[in-house]
Amino acid sequence: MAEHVILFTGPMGAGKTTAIEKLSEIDVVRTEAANTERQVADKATTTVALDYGEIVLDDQDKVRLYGIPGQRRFDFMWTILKERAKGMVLLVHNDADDPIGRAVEYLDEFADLYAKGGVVIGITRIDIAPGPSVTDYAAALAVAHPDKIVPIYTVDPRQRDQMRTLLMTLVANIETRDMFVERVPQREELVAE
Amino acid sequence: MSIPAHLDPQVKEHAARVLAGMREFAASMIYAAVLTDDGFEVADYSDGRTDASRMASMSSSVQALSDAVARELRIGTAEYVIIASDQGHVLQRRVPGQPLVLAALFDTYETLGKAIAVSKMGAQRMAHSPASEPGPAPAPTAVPEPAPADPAPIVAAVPPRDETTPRSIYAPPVSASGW
Ligand SMILES: Nc1nc2c(ncn2[C@@H]2O[C@H](COP(=O)(O)OP(=O)(O)OP(=O)(O)O)[C@@H](O)[C@H]2O)c(=O)[nH]1
Ligand SMILES: [Mg+2]
Repeated sequence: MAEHVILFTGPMGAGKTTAIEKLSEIDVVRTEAANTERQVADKATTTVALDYGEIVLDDQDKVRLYGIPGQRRFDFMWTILKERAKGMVLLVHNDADDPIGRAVEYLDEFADLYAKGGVVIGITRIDIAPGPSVTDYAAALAVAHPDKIVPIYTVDPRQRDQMRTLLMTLVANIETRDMFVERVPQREELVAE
Repeated sequence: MSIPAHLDPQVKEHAARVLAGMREFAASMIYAAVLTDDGFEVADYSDGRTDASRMASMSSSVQALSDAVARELRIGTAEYVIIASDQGHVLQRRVPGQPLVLAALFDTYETLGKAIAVSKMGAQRMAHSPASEPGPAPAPTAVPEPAPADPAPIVAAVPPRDETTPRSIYAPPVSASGW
């Protein structure tokens, strides 16, 4: 069975904890604390260390799901979690202040994960804020990260099937990339031959 | 909605007094802070070398992870957390009945027993926090409960270093706000 470690990132209130709770097949490890930043995200709790869950996709891919605390004050946790992950689901809520700016910011911050495996972006809360559109995000990312091909979808983290599809897309991308990397002979191998 | 503790001047002032009281009792206390559950600094007693807001975020993560471990193992709630290292002990615990955490760093000369007792009494004292209500300030509340008999003897048995006249952290109130 293949194993993947995927990190859910994105700003406070994007829906990382909600998504991991929906996806996980085990009891989720939660580190929620009473939220005093109600003006930033109007919700009762916020993640202060990590979320952890697990899911098996198609009986063959075990995926460990980690969620970051979205607030930058906890960026020491970002460093720890970034180390162990091999791919990223970046969630951004469309009703955030400058959501496209936030998407670019988190992609910059976690660019290593693109290099290590792959990234997908999920735009959330589009029922609350219908714009900007996926095309707007794609245009901004093409300028900020012209070297990266990042699929962008709209999703509702409360809907398990939508999150599952997003996750499967990411895992498929990572596996395709792994196959490609495996087939390309490494420099040392070429020298040896 | 009530004012968050880290923005409430009365709570901040009370927290600063609690920390100062702890320091008077344990000269080995190098750094201490009261923080909200989600990691905002309410007050700190600092040597000036510690980034208080960063420590508040870290203490909040540590507390939440410790609680998660206790939940996972079904051993109830974590009473306190200790990080014991070569050059100091960090001890932190929740403030009873409040969404607050008290964290303190003691130098290694301190016995763990005293560090635990001092932090326990600090947290108990912090629990009687005179939170402001939005709108007009409330009349001063009653003086908090006196010290519980239980932990006091442990502390009294280990006099603080560098102090000739130790004062109890349960010293009488010094202001109209109750402490
Ligand atoms: N209406 C609507 N609500 C959503 C949608 N996605 C998420 N939510 C809600 O938005 C909130 C997201 O909260 P969390 O899952 O705690 O967000 P988080 O990203 O974990 O935030 P932090 O841990 O604070 O960084 C929850 O109340 C969700 O129910 C959506 O697409 N539409
Ligand atoms: Mg969360």
